[in-house]
Amino acid sequence: MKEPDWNDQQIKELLAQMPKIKDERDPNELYQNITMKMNKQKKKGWIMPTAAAAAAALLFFILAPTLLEGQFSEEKALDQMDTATSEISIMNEDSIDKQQKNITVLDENEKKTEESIDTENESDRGIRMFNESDSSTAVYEEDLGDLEVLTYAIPDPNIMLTVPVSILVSKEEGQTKFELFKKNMGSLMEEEWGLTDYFPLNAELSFDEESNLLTVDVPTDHTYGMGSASENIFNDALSYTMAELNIEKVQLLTNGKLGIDFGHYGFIESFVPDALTGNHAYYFYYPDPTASQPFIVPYGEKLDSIKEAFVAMKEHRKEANLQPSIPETLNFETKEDETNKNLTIHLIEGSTIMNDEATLHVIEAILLTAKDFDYQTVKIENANIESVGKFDLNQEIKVPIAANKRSLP
Amino acid sequence: MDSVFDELYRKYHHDVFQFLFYMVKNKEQAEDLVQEVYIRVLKSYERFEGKSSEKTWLFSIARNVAIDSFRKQKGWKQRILEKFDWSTAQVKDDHPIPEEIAVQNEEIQKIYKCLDKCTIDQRLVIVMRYIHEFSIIETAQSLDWTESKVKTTQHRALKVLRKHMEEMNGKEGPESEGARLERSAD
Repeated sequence: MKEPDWNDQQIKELLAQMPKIKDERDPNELYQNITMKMNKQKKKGWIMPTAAAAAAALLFFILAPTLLEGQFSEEKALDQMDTATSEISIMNEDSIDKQQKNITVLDENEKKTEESIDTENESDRGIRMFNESDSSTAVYEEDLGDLEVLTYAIPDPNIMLTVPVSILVSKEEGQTKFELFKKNMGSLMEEEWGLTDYFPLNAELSFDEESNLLTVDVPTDHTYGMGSASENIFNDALSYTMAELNIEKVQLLTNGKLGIDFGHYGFIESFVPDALTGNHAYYFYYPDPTASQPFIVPYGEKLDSIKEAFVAMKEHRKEANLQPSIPETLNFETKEDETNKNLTIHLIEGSTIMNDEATLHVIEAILLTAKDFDYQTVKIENANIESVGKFDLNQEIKVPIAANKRSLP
Repeated sequence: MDSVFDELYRKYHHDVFQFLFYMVKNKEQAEDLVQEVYIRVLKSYERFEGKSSEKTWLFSIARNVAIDSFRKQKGWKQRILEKFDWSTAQVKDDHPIPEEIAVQNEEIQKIYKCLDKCTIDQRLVIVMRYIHEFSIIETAQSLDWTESKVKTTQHRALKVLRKHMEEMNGKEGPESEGARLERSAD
């Protein structure tokens, strides 16, 4: 037989009848237990930290001699990392640090102009921490491996010049260089590098390999025709792109219709770029004045000879905020070997160089300029030292593959 | 002896102990837990602002201590046992039934067992509301719940207890149902 259902009231009554349960311990004993436990917990509170501190002190004494010994090279390595990183932003403390250190250094370069102070800082930094590790800025043959190098022309924040920036990406099966170029266009970190956000282009790019024709289709509301500066930049960007991809001709479309209206240049349907690359002098460009690594950028009109270029490279191009890439004190004679595509730089007595970061960048600027004048190798003669950074001065140095290596996240 | 301890002991010790006992159903464990309650109370007594009553404040600490002990306990043993269904639930209650309960009538013993079927929240409410005869407001303050949460939880808890009390009492219901099913399967 089933018993009658329980109702809530009965349950409540049952619960109310539950027996009282008492703690039979003596309150004094309980209190003792509690105070003991509390003290124990307090002890726990200091034993561990004290033990940790003791261990740390012990470790310090064990490691201190090694640390002190290694401090100099440690510092070097750290600073090296700092400068080798592709980021331009360097903390303010760092620059203050540089300034302070700078006071103690006498450099014959000393000038009142801002840019030479900077260069001086560079060499000063170099003295402190320069070592063999790589602080070069360009892409060299040995960097390449299995990677593809893509160079983009990115405007500076004032839209005064275009900075070629190269990234290394892994090659992908069945993807042409153009496809890689297009694909990576959106991943560039222009603003983080101190430049203007320019890529991806506000245009549909397509490339016909057979006819070597690049088609650029901009939307009707494009801004590439707004003022001569943006036109020039667009022209530059396209020209670089073309040089990069061996493109011979560009067809311009607006929303599928032939021609782009550039206010200044008028209505243009296609263009064969005047090869921007070639016969330019390379200068230092520091988007962030405290950065140790410059962009090394081509600027100015095409020059007739590399000698002219080297003269120009000692100039300060204020209009574009560019700094000389060859110090006033560095003098040399050049010997051009057109058949072997080799350029010899013979340093004149008194032109001493140092194995530091600043000199490394000077050599890079010379190499990039030499490349622009179609040389393949550069030999530096009569140097007072054997090597500068990665460059062995006893050997002919191969010109870089591309300028301004930056990495993607 | 500490005057705070002295006062709290006199006023609430047995209530707090009993509450903890009905939560964990084990006298030794309740003894440990009540100590933990005093430790927490003595450490934070200065912070007691009298916003709530001393009683509900004390019970809210006791409740936290009980829940923490469940968390710690919920180690390997609980996890393995949870894999079994309720038919093996008696195994879970491996604590000996204390004398106080053992001497009671059958119904009391049954409902004592049925407490296991409740969730922790439900058990908290049942113990506070019906064993300790807390008001809904007191319960809500001790548990830091809204009054409506106390009401709904107590309602569900009573339902669970009723259901299991019925199951323990009359087994004919489910059995005859099973028989009918067998026949229809023929």
